[in-house]
Amino acid sequence: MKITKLKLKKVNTSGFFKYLLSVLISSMILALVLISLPLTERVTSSATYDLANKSKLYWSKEYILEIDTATSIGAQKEIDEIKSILQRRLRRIGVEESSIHSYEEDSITYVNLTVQTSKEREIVESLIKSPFIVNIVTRKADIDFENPEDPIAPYLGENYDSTEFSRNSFRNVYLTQLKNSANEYSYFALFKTWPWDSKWKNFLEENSGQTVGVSIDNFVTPVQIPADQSLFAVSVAATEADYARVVSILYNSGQMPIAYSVISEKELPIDIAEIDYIKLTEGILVAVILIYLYLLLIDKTPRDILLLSGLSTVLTISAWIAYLKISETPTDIFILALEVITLVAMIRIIAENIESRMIVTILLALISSVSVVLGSGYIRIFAYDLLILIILSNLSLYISKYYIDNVRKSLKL
Amino acid sequence: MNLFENITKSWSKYEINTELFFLLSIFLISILTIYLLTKERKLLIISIISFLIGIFSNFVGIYLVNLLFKIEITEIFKMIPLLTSILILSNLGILIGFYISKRHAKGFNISSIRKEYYSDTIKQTIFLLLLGSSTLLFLSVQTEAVISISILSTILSIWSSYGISKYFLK
Repeated sequence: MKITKLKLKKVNTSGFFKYLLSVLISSMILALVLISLPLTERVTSSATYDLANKSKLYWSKEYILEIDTATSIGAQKEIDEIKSILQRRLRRIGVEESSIHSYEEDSITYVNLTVQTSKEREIVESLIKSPFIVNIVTRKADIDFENPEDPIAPYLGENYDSTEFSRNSFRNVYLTQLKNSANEYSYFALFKTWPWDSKWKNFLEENSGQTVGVSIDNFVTPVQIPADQSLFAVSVAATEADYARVVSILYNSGQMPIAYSVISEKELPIDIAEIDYIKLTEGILVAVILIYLYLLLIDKTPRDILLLSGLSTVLTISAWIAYLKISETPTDIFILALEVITLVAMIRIIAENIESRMIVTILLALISSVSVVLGSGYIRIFAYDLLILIILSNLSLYISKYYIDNVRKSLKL
Repeated sequence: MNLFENITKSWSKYEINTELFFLLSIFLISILTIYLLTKERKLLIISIISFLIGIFSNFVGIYLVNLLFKIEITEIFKMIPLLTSILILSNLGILIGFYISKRHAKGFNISSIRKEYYSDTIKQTIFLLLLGSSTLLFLSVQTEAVISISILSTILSIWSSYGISKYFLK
């Protein structure tokens, strides 16, 4: 019997997968472009992904603080210190705009503080309104802290003697969650000194097993020093991470040299660079088309480079805007405009000058990182986004190159 | 919130120090990175000049915008030095990249990179002018001013560096 041999034709799986991948990348690019374009969220009711404009979240307020200069010696130096600490607090929480100036009226010093921010009002105000003057105090011998008729005695500053220790005596106050007496996790502030600081060590030894207090703006939180003097932990009245962060900022932004009180507050109109997102998209599109026409017709830039640069630009920008839309990240439109303009310029350079791609990427990533760490307000927001966009644009370049090569091979161009 | 008014009225020591430290860090880190990548003093000098002209143009630009167009100088204007640094670094990056790729080539002469630098600078200038002018109509006055000052400072800086490079790249 003759057995017919079946000859299986070798299937080009690699080519098939490459083709499939090209189709997938095409769909991805199309989807990203459609999502990123303005008003496309109205096409379907099944998904909502409109760009969340941050301008609605902004609020602005002016605060007048009256400085208690009665006990101060070098008032001007201390006022400058107050201004610095307030700026440090606002900067650490990420307030976009703030200004502080001091003035004198009838021998009383006032500080005028203006903020404009999208951050939560309650959080910002707790950083402004509390001087947060921290001192370590010990119990007065003649006060009965166990008296049931005077339950607030342990919390009043007047019932305590001051010590030489204030916030300035500590290297750092670290906020963390520890188990409390009810065996539940709650926030505690751990006071950390320098290892060579013997004064604090002696103080703990002297008061071992006793109750001392941490006075914050004259309100005292009693603290029991453990017998082994291992830890000096103060309970914090914050249950949420955001508020614990506020307390950490208050502890670690410096000790106010003089007390102050807020004597007036006034709502101010918001002053931000409003940009119409739709008009901005039109503008960017016109700009990119004009530039690429110039590069093609007048500059005679090779089509391959233009195609790579153009596709990478479209892919990066649309991926970024699609991400902002889908994640509903509140966005400053004017910062988005600056980001897109910087990105268009950067991608053109790194696509056209392959030998400089790594150098430009390193330099810009370094600058962005420095700005994230040292910048404040809008600079930090812009630099943080730019750092992500630098990575995204390099990734887009590789995807675009792979895609163009694959499509060319598939279509035999 | 007028930035000029804030600075003259009462910037706290903290604000002055942090802003100066920020600008100085950008400048020093960029310059140091350029030197570490190239180990070439001539390129280092061009980079330093480029940055200094850029920052100087920024201040003149902000002052003129405030004086001539009565545009209020707000916190957004603090972004100008950063934007200018990014654009200047993109230009310097092309020069450095080209230098690094060619420096070990046979018969390489540092003056040869000037020609490439010239063509890249023309391209970047036209590109930035087109990009800036096409978006200007669609932005707010303050954002327009920020972009215009950054782009014009960059153009002034890169052409000045190109002009000065005649004396160094030989």
